[in-house]
Amino acid sequence: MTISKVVALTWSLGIVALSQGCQPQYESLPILGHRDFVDGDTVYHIIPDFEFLNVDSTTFRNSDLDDHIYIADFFFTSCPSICPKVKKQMLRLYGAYKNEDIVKFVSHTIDPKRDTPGRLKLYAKNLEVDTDKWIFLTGTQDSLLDIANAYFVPAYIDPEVPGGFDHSGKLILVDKKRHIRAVAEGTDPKSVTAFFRKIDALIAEYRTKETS
Amino acid sequence: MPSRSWIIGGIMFMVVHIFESCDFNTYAQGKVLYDKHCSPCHMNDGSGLSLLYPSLMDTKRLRTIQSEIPCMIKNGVAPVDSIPNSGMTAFPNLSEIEISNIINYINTQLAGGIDPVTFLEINAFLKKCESG
Repeated sequence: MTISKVVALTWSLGIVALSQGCQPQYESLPILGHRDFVDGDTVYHIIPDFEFLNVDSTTFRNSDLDDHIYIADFFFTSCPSICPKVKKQMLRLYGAYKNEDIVKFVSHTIDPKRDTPGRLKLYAKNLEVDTDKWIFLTGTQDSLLDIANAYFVPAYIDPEVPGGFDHSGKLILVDKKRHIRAVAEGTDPKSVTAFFRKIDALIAEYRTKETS
Repeated sequence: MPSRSWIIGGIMFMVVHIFESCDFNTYAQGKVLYDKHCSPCHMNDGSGLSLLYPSLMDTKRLRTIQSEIPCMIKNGVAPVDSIPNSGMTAFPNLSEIEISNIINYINTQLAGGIDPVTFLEINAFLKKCESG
């Protein structure tokens, strides 16, 4: 081997090593929530079957989110306290993942009496978002409060608080198998900044699966 | 006896420290009130939320409605049918000085580049909605 070949080989090896070093290393996200052990298998917490109405008054089920990961939150349009700030952070995420086909956004109202599909449609229009990408859902009062619980978001009726509902502004990241993989505090922009890395990690997880 | 230069140096040191300890942010109360009453919808930086809650960083629009803002804060704004939960909450308990401080915090810190409004001007603007 001539000296020039050795030099060329060293360079190419160096470049390969460098390019691998530049690959972002994503953390592996845990599956959150209670787990059971059945016949030696681990059974994880999943988002149960649901059936709600979207802004076009059409039935919307979990199966409509198959092949997607999604970010969920709970709010109501007349919420005077934390909701606008949480929506601002959802909008920040929406802006970043608008062109990532695998990502969807799902906002559930917890005030179905006032938040009819028509009102949610107007809300989405004024938020200037596409309701195929960012889905707004309403349903019966009980089913909405129950599903919030399944997302680990405390939400309940409380006439004492402004707006009549007490709820948290958590953002929940759900994978294709309905597992909760990460949570962010929607009222805290810093927490949402950290959330971006987790969403990226989940997207990368599915990319790796596709290529392998 | 300390030399003259030491005394002069000492005085200069004190003067610099007195200046440093002064709070030049004259809109401190405006910020506290803004963060409490306005930021839930208009956001801490005044950027608002799409068409739902107007941006207060829109200097051009803000300039044209300067004379209306005091009454908007005091009496609120009527809702629009096409925007859910639109209209603005009234803040009847804010004093004229508090309203002035909020407006000047918005004008100078959030929108930026709008001259502060004087207390007398605010007083005159508020007269318009008291009589009407």
